Amino acid sequence: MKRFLNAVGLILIVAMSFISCNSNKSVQQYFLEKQSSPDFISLTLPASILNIAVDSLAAEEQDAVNSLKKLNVLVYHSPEGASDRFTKEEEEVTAVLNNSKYQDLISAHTPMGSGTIMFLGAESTIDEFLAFGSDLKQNFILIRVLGDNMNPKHIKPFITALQQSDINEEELLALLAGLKPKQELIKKQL
Amino acid sequence: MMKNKVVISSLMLLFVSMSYAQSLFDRFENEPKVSSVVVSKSMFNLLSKFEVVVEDDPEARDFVAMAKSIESLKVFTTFDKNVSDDMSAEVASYLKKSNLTELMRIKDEQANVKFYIRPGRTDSQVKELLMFVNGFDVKSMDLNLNINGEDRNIESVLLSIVGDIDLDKISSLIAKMNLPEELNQVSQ
Repeated sequence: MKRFLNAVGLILIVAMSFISCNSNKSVQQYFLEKQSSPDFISLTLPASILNIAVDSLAAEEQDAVNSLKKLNVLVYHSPEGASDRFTKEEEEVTAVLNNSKYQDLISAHTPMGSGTIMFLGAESTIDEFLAFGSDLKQNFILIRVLGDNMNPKHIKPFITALQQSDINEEELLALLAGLKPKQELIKKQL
Repeated sequence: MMKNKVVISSLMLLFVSMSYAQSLFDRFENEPKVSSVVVSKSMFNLLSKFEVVVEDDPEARDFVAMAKSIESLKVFTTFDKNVSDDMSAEVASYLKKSNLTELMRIKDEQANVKFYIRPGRTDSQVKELLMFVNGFDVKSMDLNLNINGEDRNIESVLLSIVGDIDLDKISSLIAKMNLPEELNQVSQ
């Protein structure tokens, strides 16, 4: 009996270590790798681009704004008629996401497209939000919202603060300038 | 010795059936002809946290109270006859295995709606709510029948909520999450 239990325990340990080893590529590594790939468009926006006058905000709104660090965007747009390449890239990103430590918040699938929102950290101190959207044919997009102990309580104050922001449009457009043909897509998804 | 073996094997069986039950309708998520929305427990926790500010709104308060105790919410919709039949079969086999009881059945010209619950502490508190709308006749609703070159004559909806659900307060959930309105009938 004891032997049997030992065997079961051993199998469990091996299985668990297998699972933890299996997360071969992290989301961070994936971003780094694809950011330098010519097939991808990447964009990093610092939170400062929102240009919010932090001093004039209420304490809670200040906390909300300060907990946000930056936005990381990665877009894949496959060439016309190269659906096999799209499938390959999508499979790769799905595998990375499935093996990650991110927890699902919402996922939606329709015949026209699919999307998932995930997060990393604890529910009251979120380190990162990750959104993935795909049109299942040609394009997919990954958006990472990086922060420091983002609290869901801050979402409402953050929206209030955002309404008072003075986004530097010229700066934003300059960043987007290199991505002309895909600009629409990014705008739409953001 | 023998007894232990029985206990262990029944535990394992329980574990296997539990993990099966959890992934029960999940395969419809990867079915191309199905639209699905899956909301996790974490999402409900987050929602309840950032909704907490509005204390004067009774609907929001009900929503917060309920959102905290919801484990998962899944909605699957299809316009395809074959997938709809498949869903129907899956629901039937799930009902056979689980101890859900029928709450009510509504049939009219347009659709056949069935509600099942896993009873909780009181009549209005349930542990699980399953709604299945079979063959909702879109034609009679005079809606757009052809979307993306696909004829949409029927619509089937499968909705599953697991957690502590108060049927009397479900309208708050329906309003906040844009759930199918048929659900309102459970609180009447």
